[in-house]
Amino acid sequence: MSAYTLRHYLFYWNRLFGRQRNSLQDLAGYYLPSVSIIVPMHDEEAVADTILELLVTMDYPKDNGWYEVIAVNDGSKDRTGIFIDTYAERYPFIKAIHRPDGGRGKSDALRVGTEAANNEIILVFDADYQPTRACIKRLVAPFRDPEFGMVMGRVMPINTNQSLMTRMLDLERSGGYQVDQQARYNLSLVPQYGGTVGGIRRQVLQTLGGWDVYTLAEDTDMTMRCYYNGWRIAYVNVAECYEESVLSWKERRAQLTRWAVGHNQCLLSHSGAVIKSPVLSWFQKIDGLLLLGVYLVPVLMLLGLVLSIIIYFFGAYWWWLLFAALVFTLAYNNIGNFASFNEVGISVVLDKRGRVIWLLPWSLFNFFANVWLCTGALIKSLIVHGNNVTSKANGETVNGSVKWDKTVKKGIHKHNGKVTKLPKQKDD
Amino acid sequence: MFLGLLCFVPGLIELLRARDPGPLSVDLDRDIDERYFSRAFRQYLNRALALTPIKSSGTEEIAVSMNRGLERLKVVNEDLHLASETHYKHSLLIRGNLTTENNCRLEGEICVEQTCITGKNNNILALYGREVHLGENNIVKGWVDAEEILEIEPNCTIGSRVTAGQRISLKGDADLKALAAPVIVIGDDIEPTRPFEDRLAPPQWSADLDRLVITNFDTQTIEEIGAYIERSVGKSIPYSNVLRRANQLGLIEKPLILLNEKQRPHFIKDKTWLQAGDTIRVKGDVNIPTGERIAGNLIVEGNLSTEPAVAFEGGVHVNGSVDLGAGAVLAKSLVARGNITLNEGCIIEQCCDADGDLYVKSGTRVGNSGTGGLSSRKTVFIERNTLIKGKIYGENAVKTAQKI
Repeated sequence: MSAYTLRHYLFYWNRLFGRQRNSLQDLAGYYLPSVSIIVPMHDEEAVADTILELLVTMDYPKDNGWYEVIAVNDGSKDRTGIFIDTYAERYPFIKAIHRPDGGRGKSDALRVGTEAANNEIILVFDADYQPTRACIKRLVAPFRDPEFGMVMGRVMPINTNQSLMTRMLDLERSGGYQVDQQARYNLSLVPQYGGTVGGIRRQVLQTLGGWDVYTLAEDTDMTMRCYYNGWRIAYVNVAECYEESVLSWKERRAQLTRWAVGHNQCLLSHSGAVIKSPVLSWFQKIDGLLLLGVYLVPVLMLLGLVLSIIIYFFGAYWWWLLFAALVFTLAYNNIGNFASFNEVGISVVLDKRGRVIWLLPWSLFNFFANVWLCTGALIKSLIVHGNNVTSKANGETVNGSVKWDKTVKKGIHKHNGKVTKLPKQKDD
Repeated sequence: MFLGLLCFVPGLIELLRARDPGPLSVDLDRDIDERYFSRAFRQYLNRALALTPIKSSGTEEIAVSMNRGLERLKVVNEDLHLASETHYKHSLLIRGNLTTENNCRLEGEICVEQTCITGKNNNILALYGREVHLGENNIVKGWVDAEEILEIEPNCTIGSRVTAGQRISLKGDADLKALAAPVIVIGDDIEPTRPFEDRLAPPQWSADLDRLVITNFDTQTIEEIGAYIERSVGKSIPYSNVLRRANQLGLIEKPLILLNEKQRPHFIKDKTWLQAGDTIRVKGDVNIPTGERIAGNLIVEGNLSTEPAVAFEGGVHVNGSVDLGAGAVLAKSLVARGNITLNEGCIIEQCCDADGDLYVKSGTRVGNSGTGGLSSRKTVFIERNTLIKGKIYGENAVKTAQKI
């Protein structure tokens, strides 16, 4: 826990006062490799035309196969396939892949999309995302440096005013990208590829054996495999893209459980390789392990609370020690356990936002909910990992216990039939 | 407990009476446009003029509402010539050509629809023209943009972007910030360079050559295999091309493999890894002897120096500083965390990025067909007789000189 304290403190200190790296954006637009953009879609009729329309109007050369969009209709039961076909007929650079027997998860859909990709850089966008016109140019800019194998852009919720949940997630995303990811990149640590608004070199992907279809967190899995095999991940703060956040606690629970289980799978699979990697410094190895263990933090906090109660009722009554422990615990909570809250606060300042910071204490409810969810996820991930080992040993291609709880998108942000308009902010 | 609950009150107020409910404001339509300032100014100007009746001949001074509020604008419907020592405070729109003599002070933006030729020692805020010729010792506080060609005489200082739709020519020493154009020539035009492909033509692998690699991979050094191939086919193959082929043949199984002494080239003494079969990572400094050819990418965790006429088929990343010998050729990009020196006659086909200072000596060419540029987090120093395609950006400055 102290290590996480130090880590978060280091991150927001660096973000405020340290030297900021700009991921080679000075020459963004002057390096234009060929790109394949994969958009996996499973029952995305509400958002399919939005993302495809934005990719059609993307500011990137589209001649001679230099730019291709691979829309994977992954076992959809709605009109997703019709939308994809319409665009594929109209635009030669859009490929439609239909998998009536799909729906086994995003990593499997990505695997299929990657097989159809021809170009040097593979980018991934989820169906509900809305990138800026310059997003692709900004995302590919770091790839002119051979050290970078992957890239990640910035995700921002668009439906922030829908519910308390979306407002909380807005803050969470803000802290996670504006401070956490950027600081990790500044310090040459491991910014995480988040599965969307990001990409990878096709050659690196092939060398590493492609997407792992056994995992629920193919993004973390690939991040780690790149990292300990010598490729770095670039974080591009200016490659901005809107997303649709989950609206309710129920959806949030499913989403977070999926992330936590997948992340913990990666912890079990990759910790050893991170420690043994000959191309990482000790600082980088420690950060890699801390990143892998991030969904254990709430579990450790729960454990700490339970132990505190046990010690209080059954331990020795050394009041002065208890007082000291209380002081340190409070201090730790302010900048350690709750260090992520500090990151959110700083991100709001850096984004020059207003009263949204008043909502920060309300994130406490999310925080305690995470404790419960992550504890359940840890138990589930141990079971899933065990099953994975068995499935792989039996030569099965997909692990049946990896159930993909899909987040349903509403496609609620279209204005006057145009997909690029933003909801207007209320003026003060 | 009351104090604990108190922290939720501001949030409750914001929830009940939301003043900041919207997402982060981002313009989805915004793209990367180096000529943004010039275009934006002209857009505001055109919008303002659309609402204001103006004459179609002669000269008039009108009030227009721009993004900065109400301001004066002089509209000239024909050519304009400004005598020496002219001082004008407001923006200018000239429908014809603009010529100025010396020591003029123009404190507003200038938009010239035809050609603009300025004299010496002028002080200008910002300037746009179809073609622009900036005289000696001009100081421009803001941007300069030409729709087609922009020529800059010696000893000019420009505080913001210098852009052109076709070409920028810098005739002598200058102190700039950023330049962007399809072609940027510093000094005189340089000779067309020797064909790039000649030096880096990839080998044609055959079944016999593959067998040779497979048979000898574990027992011979990479250079010995390369030499044997050269004797067989009469063509020199760089050692790293042999490594890449070995990877393609499945002789190298892991994505990251430590190269042993046989597999390392003779000039690398430090630990070396092969990543994905085409990227070599060296822990330490590297000095590459003359005439060597590196197939694939190179990552150097220390400093990199090369003797003359070294060729790189891939990209290069260096954690330290780079000193590329004269006549070096690089098929992709060069990125360094320290300083970069490109000696005489280097060719970089894509981009060159330095966290430190960037020194570009004469005869160097950077960029090709829409890809290219120089960037430094400090200062870019460029000698004359260099050609850059794309953009030049120095966070501190871009300085051109006869000799650096």
